[in-house]
Amino acid sequence: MNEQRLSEHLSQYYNSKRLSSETLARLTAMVESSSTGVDRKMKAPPTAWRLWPRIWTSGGLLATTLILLIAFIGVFSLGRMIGEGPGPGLTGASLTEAIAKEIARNHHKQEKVQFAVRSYAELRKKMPRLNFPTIASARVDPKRLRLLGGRYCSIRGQIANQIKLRDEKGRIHTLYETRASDAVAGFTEGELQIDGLRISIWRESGLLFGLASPQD
Amino acid sequence: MRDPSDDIQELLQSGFRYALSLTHDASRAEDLLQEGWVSVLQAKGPHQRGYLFAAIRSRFIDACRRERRVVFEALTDANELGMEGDLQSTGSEAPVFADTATLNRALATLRPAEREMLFLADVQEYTAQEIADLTGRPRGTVLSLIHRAHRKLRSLLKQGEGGRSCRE
Repeated sequence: MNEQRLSEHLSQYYNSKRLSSETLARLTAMVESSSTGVDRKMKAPPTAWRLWPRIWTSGGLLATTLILLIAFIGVFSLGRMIGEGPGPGLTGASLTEAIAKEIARNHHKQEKVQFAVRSYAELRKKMPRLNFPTIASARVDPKRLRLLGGRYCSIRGQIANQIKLRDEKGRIHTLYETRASDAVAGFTEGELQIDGLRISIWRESGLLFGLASPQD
Repeated sequence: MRDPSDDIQELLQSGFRYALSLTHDASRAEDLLQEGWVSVLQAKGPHQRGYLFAAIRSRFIDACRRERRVVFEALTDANELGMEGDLQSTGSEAPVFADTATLNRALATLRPAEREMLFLADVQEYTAQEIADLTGRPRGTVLSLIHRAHRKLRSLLKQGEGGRSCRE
């Protein structure tokens, strides 16, 4: 116990509270991504471009082409086998459609939440296996859609989360978040109608977001 | 020369503390800060404390409405409390005994609006007029609320102190 002015007690109390360094770094990075368009940079892997001159000059062009061709055929065949469309080489609208179909399938499974939470911060703590921070999207109106919880899932083979939301009419919507890189880097934002669902897909803070909502 | 990212980090820490004064819950404060921060960035608003606090406050009110919780009750006018003048007359100056745990419990008992006033007046050292501008309340109401929050907090701390010494 110590005797001080009330204002000093309050200052000490609040000034001792600090955001975690992880959250601080994430929010600070949002400034850069909002002003410099970091999202677009993610589409082009810089290391691959730096490697090209070496490959050309080393005379291994033929070997490289062969390896790439074999790899492409392998991935193409694998993609067809697992029923996810013609593989991760897709870009633009066809990739968006493939993502939307996968989201619709995940939505219709109606899996229970693994973590029932009231806030996104709580969900972030409960899902440490994700390689990105779970965030509240600015496009999802928290007045209209209340957070129920989340679970791990995957989108195009990438780790993702499925967040369950409930609207005022009691209908369930599912929101998906995954890194907007690698297998999903080339998608285009849009809205599709699939299996009685309205699927919206967009990019925000370096993440791919997908929202599956029942059609009105 | 000061790194601009240091200013941003300082701003975010202030925003977190302000959100904490409203929610008294670290997880909810983080969410609130993030929502407020996103709206400041989207509006391409200046990275200033006033804008961030206003965004956080607006999100907090929305969340309370959604949860149908009463956030800000009507208050007695400053004159009714026989109180006029500056913040120094509201009782933050006299010494008081408190430790962190007791203070934490006492703050949890206060209403969000009361904690908000204490934070803005005593931690951020805003004037009554600045608080009135931020919160959209008349200056008299702000003074009344601060006075009431100080009195309530003092009383809670005294009870906490008494309770502790009885147990000990």
